[in-house]
Amino acid sequence: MTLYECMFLVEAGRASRHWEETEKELTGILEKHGAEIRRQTFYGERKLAYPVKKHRRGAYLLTYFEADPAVIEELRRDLTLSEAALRYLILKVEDGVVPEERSLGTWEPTARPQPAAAPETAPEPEAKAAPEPEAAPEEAEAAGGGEAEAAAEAGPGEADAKEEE
Amino acid sequence: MAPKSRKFKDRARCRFCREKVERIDYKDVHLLQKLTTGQGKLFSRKRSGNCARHQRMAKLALKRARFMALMPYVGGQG
Ligand SMILES: [Zn+2]
Repeated sequence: MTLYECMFLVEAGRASRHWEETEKELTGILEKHGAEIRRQTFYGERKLAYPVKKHRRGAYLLTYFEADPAVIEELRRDLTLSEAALRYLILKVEDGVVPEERSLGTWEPTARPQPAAAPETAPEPEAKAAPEPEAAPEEAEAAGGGEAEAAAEAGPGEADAKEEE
Repeated sequence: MAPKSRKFKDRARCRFCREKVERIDYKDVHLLQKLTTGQGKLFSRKRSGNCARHQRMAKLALKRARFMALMPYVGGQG
């Protein structure tokens, strides 16, 4: 098992209205391939640096998981097919240690969107304070190693919107 | 006149070398913003003083941040 980090970008509308299902779907795909989730942190909605498939805002879910490197390819395929995330990026964690939950510059971890009295889905309040099981740190990877780039589904050269903040 | 005791490679010109940075995280948007022009372009090594190794790391981090729409692609409007 190897430790990976995966960042999901979820379109803001979907994130605010259907977070539970979205997270369930993404996590489900990971687990389907035998991945063991170590930690997930939600980073609330922000303005995207450029529109992605016409969406201007998005929320991010950072997930650390352990998986067999052999399944990553298929995992990618499934994530690409899923509509839940606009984009995702899977990288190997080189030192094999799940980092502390932290803010990223001015970007703070936030609570997940609550299902606002959602009629259709039974709201299961997600009080997920991430149990944070110590990841068995495997031998530190030699730097450089097989970093996994997300299948470059790169957006069709849309580039507008200047940087924010 | 103060004696210039110029020790060889006393202080690295590259800030990342000075701070012994081993990796640059694409998620650190704050840092990447400092490394790029208003247009979202990475400052040249000449301008930033980064060594080749750290410049490569910065470049890769920027590429990833762009893919995840955390940083703009170069030549954004304006
Ligand atoms: Zn350096």
